[in-house]
This record gives sequence, structure tokens and C-alpha cells, in this order.
Amino acid sequence: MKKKKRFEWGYLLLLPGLGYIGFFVVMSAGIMIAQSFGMYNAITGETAFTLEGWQGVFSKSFVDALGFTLRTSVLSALISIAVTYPLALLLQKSKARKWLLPLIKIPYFVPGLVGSFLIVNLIDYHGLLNEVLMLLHIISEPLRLRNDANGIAVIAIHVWKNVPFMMIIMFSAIEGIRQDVKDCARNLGANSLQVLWHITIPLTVSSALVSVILTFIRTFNDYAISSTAGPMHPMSLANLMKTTAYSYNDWITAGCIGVLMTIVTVIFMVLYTVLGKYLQNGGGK
Amino acid sequence: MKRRNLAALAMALVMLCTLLSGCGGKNGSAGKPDAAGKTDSPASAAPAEAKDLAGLMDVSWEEIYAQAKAEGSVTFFVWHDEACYTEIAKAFEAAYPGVAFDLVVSDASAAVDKMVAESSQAAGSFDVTVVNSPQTLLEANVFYGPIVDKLENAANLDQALCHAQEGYIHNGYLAPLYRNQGGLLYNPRNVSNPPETWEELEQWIDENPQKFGVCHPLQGGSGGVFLLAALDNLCGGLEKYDGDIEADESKMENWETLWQWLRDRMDKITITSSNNDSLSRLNQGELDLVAAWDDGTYTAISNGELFKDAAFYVPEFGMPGGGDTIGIPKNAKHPAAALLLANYLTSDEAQALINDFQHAYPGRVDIAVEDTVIPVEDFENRTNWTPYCYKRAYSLGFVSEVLEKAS
Repeated sequence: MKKKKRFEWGYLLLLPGLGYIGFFVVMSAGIMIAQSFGMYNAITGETAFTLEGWQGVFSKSFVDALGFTLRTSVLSALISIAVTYPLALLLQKSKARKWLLPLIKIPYFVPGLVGSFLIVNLIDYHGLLNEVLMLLHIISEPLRLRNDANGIAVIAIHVWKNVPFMMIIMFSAIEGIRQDVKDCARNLGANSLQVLWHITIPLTVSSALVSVILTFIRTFNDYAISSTAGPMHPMSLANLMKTTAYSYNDWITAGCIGVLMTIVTVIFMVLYTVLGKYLQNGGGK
Repeated sequence: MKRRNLAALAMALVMLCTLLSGCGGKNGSAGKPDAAGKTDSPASAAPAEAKDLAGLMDVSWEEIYAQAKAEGSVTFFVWHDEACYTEIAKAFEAAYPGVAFDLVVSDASAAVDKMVAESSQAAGSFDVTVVNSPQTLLEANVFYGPIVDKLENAANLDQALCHAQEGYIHNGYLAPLYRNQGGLLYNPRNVSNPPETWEELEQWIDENPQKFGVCHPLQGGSGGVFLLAALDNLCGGLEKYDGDIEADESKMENWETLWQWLRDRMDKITITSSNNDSLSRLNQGELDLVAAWDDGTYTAISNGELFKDAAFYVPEFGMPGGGDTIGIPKNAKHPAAALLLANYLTSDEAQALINDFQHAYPGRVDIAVEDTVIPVEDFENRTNWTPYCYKRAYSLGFVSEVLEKAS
């Protein structure tokens, strides 16, 4: 006869943690979803179910903002990894890494808004970049790089901010490769490029993918950088959400935008988890 | 086993209690004296017969002062010119001994969020607040009113601002603190003959591509001011909109002229991200002519953020002016002190101080104005705002009809 399993009171120890998640994450997300259907209006306090927000959310402004946010997020993540990978490989072999590594990590600890102002100073009309280009007679008039429609300034700031973040992940991954595996390859006649291609990259590609996804999520939800250096149109989704709520006083559509942003983030979080598990299990090998 | 479960249960309860106590608001301490011995809630702060804002409307200023003294302090929110309001605080405390002036200087939109969030609570954080954009606060029913008629200098206040701010009708809920004026600001080293008529402005923009800057109307009032001036000059004047509560579609039929005018010049006009961004770009030499506010210009020049010979004027084609106001939240902790401060802020002394520091035209029309960036005669070119329903329409139209179609 099967013995009835007794309730473990020890599970109650999870309450503070689960309570925190339940209260601050699940409930606030629930309220945002409710707001997208017209409930819990933050300004008037009115509650009336409506699909008005969802019917109008996919406006040209939203589609433009989504396109801009996706473009800047994907490009920022890809450029960041393209910079980080070789940098991490070089640093791993460098004798100066003890002091270079902490230096490279500095931007990670600088708040996004501060970093944004720092970079804006570089790319502004009379910023360092324009002054140098003028001095070298490469340009005759300063370039207007700030608030440019293609979001080049936004991407540059995201790369500046995310390379150190990726470096933390990638450097650990490269450091984690056992030296005897590389020595073994060399004993079998592999040159440096072959070691990189057949040993280092396959063993660190999982970390690279994870760091790309995490960076994408960070940049996709950014507000501070795109609001200071981003174009007037299209805005980033976070900026559009704020403008919709505060300037248009349309909290219902703002709720819809918030829900859509959360859905995209959750999709990428799931992708990150699935990918992590897949790679943890040896990538299907 | 039982003992282990009991211990786990006890620990869980302790941790749960810790979490719940952490989530608790300030209400638990309401009414308790603070370090200075003052109390937190209006009920316990004032004497037993203390009146609320409605009750205070019918009593004398002596009685209001007596109750304000019992309340002990007044909290005033503003987002700019800290030096000015620090001086006003000293003068207020000297004029009304026993009523401490607590000045809060912070971000304007954060304060709006706070007031809206607190609007259903018994006691809010602010007693008197400066208002630059009234719509959100009035729609959230934050303020007590009307208060203007209670003020001693009500008759001398700018009557248009007493009735509406930025086209939003408030009917005396907000009292004018100072007036400001939209205009054009230019670099006299690069612009020798600034445009006065609309045709001259068109010509100037065409001849100087990307040197004219306008703030995005949703991110700074100077952008909206320029759009109104364009609407006035291109779509047959602003008078026809007067008095409308809801936007009349038939009056907006010819707005396509405005949108087309802007679309045709989007590659020649620089859209900036804020009022200050326009000034900053003018200062850097990126722009030579921008839409701006008079008080913002004076502050920027005084702070060294803008070159001293930057010239501000109200062109002949007309630009709207407005002003900022003060309001008393319904849930002000210190209602008598709030009313006393509102009255003081519209007094000769406070209005003169505002002019001394901010160099803006005061909310009172009978106060002599000294040292502003615009001469009085430029006020002849001042136009009014359209009702708020149209402000929303042209701000949103700028995005949908100009920015989206031009991109």
C-alpha cells in the first residue's frame, strides 16, 4: 500500500521569496494586462472593460517603434559580441589582463543614463569626434550624429555599455576551457587557428549565444539611452509607452505596449532557458 | 520530525511577517510626532476645531494664519530656480513666524506621478505645488478649488491664466504665479535680420536649411507654441477655436495645409528633444534660430549655458504666451498653511522676488517688470492658446501627419 505523502512545512520557507515575486512581478504584470483592457486606469481610477487599446495599438508609430527597437537591439547585441569575442581571446593571453579586465568592466557599472551623456558628449555637434574629424580635414562641417534617425548613437552607447557585460560571461567561458584539451590538439598538430576553430569556439559558443540573448533583452527594454540619444521618430518602444501614457494620457494603449514588450522579453527568456538546457546537455551530441 | 516542522513553520511565519512589514506604507506612523515634534496627519496637527480647505474659504486671513501656526509647516513643490524659492521661503517665514516653509525641488513629472498616486489618500506629500502642465493633475481631480477668488490679490492676477492654462480650462482652481512668452531666439552673430513675418520666416528656413530648430511638441512647450503660431498663420487664425470644449472636426479640415507646410520643410527644420536641447544646440552653433521661452532663455543666459548676446523676440506674426500656476492638492496635510502660502506667493513681495530671480513677467499684471529678455512692446504680438482639445489634436497630428509620413 502506498504511503500517503505528508505535507512538508518546510515549503513555507519559500513564502518570502515567492511572495516577493508574486507581489511585485506577477501582480504588477497582472495590473498592466488589466490596464491594457481598460481596467485600473491610473489617472481616473475608472474600470471598464474595453478592447479599444488592442484595436489601436498596432499604429504606424508602434510598428515604427517596434522596428527601430528590434533593429537597434539586434545590431547592438551582434556588434557587442563581435567586439567582445576577439577582445576576450586577446585578453586571455595578455599579461596585462589583471589590470585591463577591471578597466574594461567600468562601463558596466556606469548607469545607462550617465553613459549616455558621456557618449553624447563625444558625438555631439562640437563633440570630440567632430572636432577631431574637422582637425584632420576629413569633414568641413560637423556631423549631426545625436538623435540621428538610424539610431547610430543609440547602438554605439549600447555597445559601449554591453561589451563589459558580455566580457564577464565570455572571459569566464574562455578561461573555463581546460588547457590540456588545447595542448592535446596541439600535440596532434593543430595550429592556433585550428585550436580556435575546433576547440575554443565550439566550447564557448553557448556562452556567446546566452550573452547575445541577455544583451538583446537589456537593450530591447532600454529607456534611458534611447530617450537621450535616440531619434525624435521613431522612438524606442519604452519611450513610446511613456509618451503614450504621459503625453497622450492614453494609459490603455500604454498598457498594451507594455504587455507586448513583456511578451517579447518572455519569448527571449524562454529561448535563453531552452538554449541553456540544450547546450548544458551537450548540444544534442 | 515534528519539532523540525514546527521550527520551519515558525521561521516561515517570522519571514512572512518581515515581508509584510516591509511592504507596509507610511500609514503606520501617521500622526506620530517627527524629530521636530511636528505631527504627520492633518487631524492631529491642527487644533480640534481645525478647518479643512472648504471651511477655510469663509474665514479671515487672521484665523487662517492662526490655524497655519498650529499646523506648523507648509510643503511647497517646484522643479526649477531653487535659489528663487529659497529666498521666498525665508521671506515667507519672516512674514509668518511659526509656519516653517519646506521646499521640495525635484523632477516635475515625478511630482505629477506622486500627486496622482496619492490623490485618493487622506494626506498627500505637497501642500502647494507649481503647475506647468495642468491636464493630468486636473483630470485626476488632484486640486481643491476654486481658490483664486479667496486670494487677496485676485483682481490683479492675469485673468486669462486664472481661467485656463495652456488652453485647459480650470476656472480658478489654479492661481497664476508668473507668465511666460513663446518667441524666437537667435544668434545675432549669424542672423543679422531675424524674420518678423511668416513669409520672412519661410524664406529664412529655406535659405538656411537645418539652422532653424523646433522642439518636439510632446517634449517641450516651445514646440507647441511654434505649431500654434504656424496654425494661426497658415490655417486662418486661432479665434475660431475659442470656447470649444471638444475638438470641432469642421474647424480642423484645413489643417492639412499646416502638415504639408511642415512636411515640405522637414529636411530643413531640426526637431530637438526638449526646450533646453534647442538652447543647447543654439549655444553650440548647430542652430541659429530656435523657438524658445523667455524665462528659459533668461535662466540659460544667467547660468552661463547660453551666450550672453543671444537675442529673444516675439515676431510680428505672433506667438502664444502662457504661464505657470500654483495649486493646492485636496489632500494637503496643512490646508491653512497652504492657503496662506498661496496668498503670499501672489503678494507684492513674492511676485517682486520672482521677477528679481526668474526675470519672467509676474502672475500679477500690476507689478512693475524689470530686466526681462523681452520688451513690453513685444507683448503686442502675444497670441492666446487654443482650447486644450486642439492642443492634443495638433500635438498628435504632428506625429501622425508629419513625423510618420516624413519618415
